[in-house]
Amino acid sequence: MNGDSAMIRCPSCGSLNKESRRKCDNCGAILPQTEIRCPKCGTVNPVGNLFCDHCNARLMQQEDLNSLASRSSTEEPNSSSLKGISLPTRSPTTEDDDQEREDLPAWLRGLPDEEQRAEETGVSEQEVLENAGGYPDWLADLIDEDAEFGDVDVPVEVEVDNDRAASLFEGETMPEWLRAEVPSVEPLATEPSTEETEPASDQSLASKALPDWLSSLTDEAAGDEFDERELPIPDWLSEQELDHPEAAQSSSTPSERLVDTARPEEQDPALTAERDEMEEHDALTEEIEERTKNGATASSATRETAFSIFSETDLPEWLSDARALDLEDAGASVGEASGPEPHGAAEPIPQAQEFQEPPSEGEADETADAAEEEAVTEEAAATAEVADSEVTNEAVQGPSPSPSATTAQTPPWEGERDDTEEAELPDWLAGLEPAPPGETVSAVFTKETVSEVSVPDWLRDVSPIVEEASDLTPTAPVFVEDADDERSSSDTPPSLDEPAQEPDWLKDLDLLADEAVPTRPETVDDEAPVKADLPPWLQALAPSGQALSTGPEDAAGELVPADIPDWVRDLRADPNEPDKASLTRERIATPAEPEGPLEGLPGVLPSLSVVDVPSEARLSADSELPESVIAQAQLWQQLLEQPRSVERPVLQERVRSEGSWGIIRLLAGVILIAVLLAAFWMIPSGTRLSQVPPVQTAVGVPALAAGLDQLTPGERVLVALEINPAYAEEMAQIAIPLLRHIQAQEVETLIVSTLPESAGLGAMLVDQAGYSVTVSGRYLPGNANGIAEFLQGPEAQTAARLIVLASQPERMRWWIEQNLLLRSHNGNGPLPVSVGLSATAGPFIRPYLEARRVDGWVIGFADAVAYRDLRGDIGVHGRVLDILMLAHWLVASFLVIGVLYGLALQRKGSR
Amino acid sequence: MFRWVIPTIIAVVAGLLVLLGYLAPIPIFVSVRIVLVRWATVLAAFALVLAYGSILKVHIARVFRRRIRHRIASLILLVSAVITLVLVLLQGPEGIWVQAILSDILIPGQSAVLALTAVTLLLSGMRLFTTRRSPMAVLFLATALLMLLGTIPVVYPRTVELIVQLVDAAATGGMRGLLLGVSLGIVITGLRIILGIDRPYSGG
Repeated sequence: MNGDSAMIRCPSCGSLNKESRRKCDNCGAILPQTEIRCPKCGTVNPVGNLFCDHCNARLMQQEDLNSLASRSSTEEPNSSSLKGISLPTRSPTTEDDDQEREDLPAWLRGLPDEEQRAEETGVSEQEVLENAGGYPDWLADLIDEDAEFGDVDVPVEVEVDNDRAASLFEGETMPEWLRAEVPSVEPLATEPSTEETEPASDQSLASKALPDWLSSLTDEAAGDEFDERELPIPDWLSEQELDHPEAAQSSSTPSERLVDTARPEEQDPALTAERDEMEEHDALTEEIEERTKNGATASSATRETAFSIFSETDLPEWLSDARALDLEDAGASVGEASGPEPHGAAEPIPQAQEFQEPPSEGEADETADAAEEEAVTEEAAATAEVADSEVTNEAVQGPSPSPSATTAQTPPWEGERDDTEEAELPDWLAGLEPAPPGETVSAVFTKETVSEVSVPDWLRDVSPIVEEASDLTPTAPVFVEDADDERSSSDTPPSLDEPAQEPDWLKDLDLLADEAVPTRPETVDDEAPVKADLPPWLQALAPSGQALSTGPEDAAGELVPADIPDWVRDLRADPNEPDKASLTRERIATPAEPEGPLEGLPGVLPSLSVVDVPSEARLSADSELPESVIAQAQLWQQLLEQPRSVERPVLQERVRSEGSWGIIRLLAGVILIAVLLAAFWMIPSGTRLSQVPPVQTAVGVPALAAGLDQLTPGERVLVALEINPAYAEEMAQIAIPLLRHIQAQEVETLIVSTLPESAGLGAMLVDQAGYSVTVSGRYLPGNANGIAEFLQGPEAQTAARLIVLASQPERMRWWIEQNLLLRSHNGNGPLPVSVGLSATAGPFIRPYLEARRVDGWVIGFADAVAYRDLRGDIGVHGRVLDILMLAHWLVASFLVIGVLYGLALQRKGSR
Repeated sequence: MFRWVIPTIIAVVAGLLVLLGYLAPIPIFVSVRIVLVRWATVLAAFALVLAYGSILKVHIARVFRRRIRHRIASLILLVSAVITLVLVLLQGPEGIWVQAILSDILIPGQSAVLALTAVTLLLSGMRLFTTRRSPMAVLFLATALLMLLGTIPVVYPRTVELIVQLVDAAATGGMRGLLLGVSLGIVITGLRIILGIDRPYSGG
């Protein structure tokens, strides 16, 4: 058997099958797979891999994955038999979804799918697709090149799902670290509220989610006619307008002209409420920024309030997910950068100087109405005064009382958390009290410049949260723990429906609006095109060599080119080609059944579970693979694609060796036969190769001849023929001279044997020996017992000598031992024994010969010729002996040559 | 009870009696031993008949069973066995046809197989060093060469003759060791059967 091919034992019948077999050769059972070949790259993966080790393509069918997942969940929830993969938390619905996700970039895989959104919003997927122009809303932003923006019907009044609205303020929008530390948030989510009893409008939802002081601002902002046409939009959104001027003309406001990426909720009617909230908070933010334009140093709490409301409540879900991912990624390097020290021990960082720069007056002046500016500015000024007098004097008191210093170390998400708490106000925050003097509670405030007014906050928050998160710490501030301790002493948890129960110190935060609104460090020139807002985590995904940033120098005119790079555009599906809109699949041809009743029919039996890979699947990180890995994979691919008929180098050497050995075998046989025939016919009859008489080298022959010479006529001689027919020729050369010698002594011969075939062989030998009298023969059944029984019989009692002619040593031993034993018991003494043995049995019987238990022996053809030589009738047997000598020499020479050849091969191989 | 108790008792008693018949020169024990050994011989003869019947049964089944490989071989065996039995019964072991079968079929066939074995061993010895090179391989080849050259009556140099004698001495010593081991094994096996520890007659 070729040791290179592994065998598989059939689990049904236990028979061994080749590894390449799919079904058992014996019983037809399906054999277990030992490897899975990736249909995409051809890499052989071990069984258990769901994805290819090389190209990350899916190897296992979805049914198998689901079955494995369900099995692992029922048997061992914490263990999985799959190697190197964690089962998805949400079971995929169809194979198409998984395949599509395989082709998407990693940052798009985390986006929610349509079914999930439909379940949350109560809007069917079909409806969403219709509103989105036939595409999922999360993809609509990528395929909107030919879409008409004005055709999208946005329902004016959408019945918002209460659960969906409630979830905006639950743990779904809450950071992971906060959810982990605040388990009490969960009961709040299930607490009944007015949202469950009556359909919540966007305004009511916002008012319920905000404290009173924010609700009032919201109402004011909502009451005013907010002209969002004046809001500048980012470059990458403006570029969409350049690409679709008709769409831009059909849209009346910038928000309507936004691409779907910026307003995905428009495709989803259920999310219209969120969009309305977003607009309201835009107005709120603008109002706050208007206050800051007047020079008032409002607290960053207000700014962060608006910021957090957007980030927590109004951000689309898909953006929240992406943001949450960035937060998690940035969380590893957060603590070292700027761990919040609530007690004010932090040192100011250089960025704090930028925060202290007065905002530009002209940045926001052009974006708002003058009358509104005055009204809002008055309110902002009033609020700023309160903020200066209360927050700056009470909260911001510590070793470094500079607001800039404290805000520099303040993570912006703390503001988010505060507003979220204020909106929902979990019980663990219910008992919070204002920090006593000397403690730096102002760590929750952050300054920003006013330059960011030109960019909608809810869009800008997507990217800066990542940048700022790297400087944050994911742990809760100290005052949270203190508040928790305080809450433990409180028996009555606050209710969300009662905003009057919020702590006073939280109420005071709304007066801090006059603080400098925290903005990004970079100031944006309103006259220059807005710099691209492509988040850095998206820039990191860009292929090397492609510039993503389209700075102001790239802009032409007021609208800058799109920020979406080409490699992102390539991911878009072309709506003109519906086949490419959805990822096409490559059907792997199922081979025809090679055997059985389905022979010749393709596709009847299920194919291997490795077919679920899109044909257009591409590696998202090709450039990251090192050259060595690629070269190794290509080598493996070449090796695997080689047909089996191609002989590998090792096998070639082995085959060549077999061929050479076949030639050697044939050559040896031919030479052996030729030499023997040549010696038999070419050597003259009187010529002897060995000039020395053979009897001189045969030690036992003279003793045997002398023993036979002592026989007297009339005595009985027992001849035991234990000759196997295979040794008949050799044993005949030994037995015939002995039988002739016995016949010459005129003794009675009794031939016995324990072998059934020896009876006929004995008759043949007697005939060849020229016996003139009939020789009786007996078969002795029972092996050693038969010999013992015979030796105790009357025929053996009267025998004068025992001659054993045996080709097998054990039967010779039986005769010698039974003779010694039984004859001694009878008192007659053992019979004298003479033996004739084959050359094979000679070495085995030598101990008995050396012990002098035998009176003479003949072993092999050489001793037989010696015996003939001694008897004087060597005749033609002398020539046969010479030929035998030549044969022995030839065999010995072949052995030596073979050994030398083997040594030469090994030496050559070692080189 | 009847499965192994009584057979064990019978085996133990028979073994002790045969052993006593060898060890104790008491006539009754010797007579009993002779009788028991004769029974064993008769049973062995019947065992040969049973073996003949068994082989006929097996190969008849193979011949008449479908989807069995080498049915023709079974058929040839059946025909040969029957013909040989008939001929021996009719002519005896010394009959002409029986001798012809022996000398023209059985002996050449088995001799050819043995010759092929010799050639195979020769080639294996030649290839030994290509697959394995160890001291044992060297010793094997040296012994084979000396035995080949030492079993033919030719004149060798004195050194070669000495080496052959050394090999004979080594072969004798090895065979004596084997014989001692076999003898001890036979004694132990006999004692175990006599003591009822091993019951090959009842499958135990």
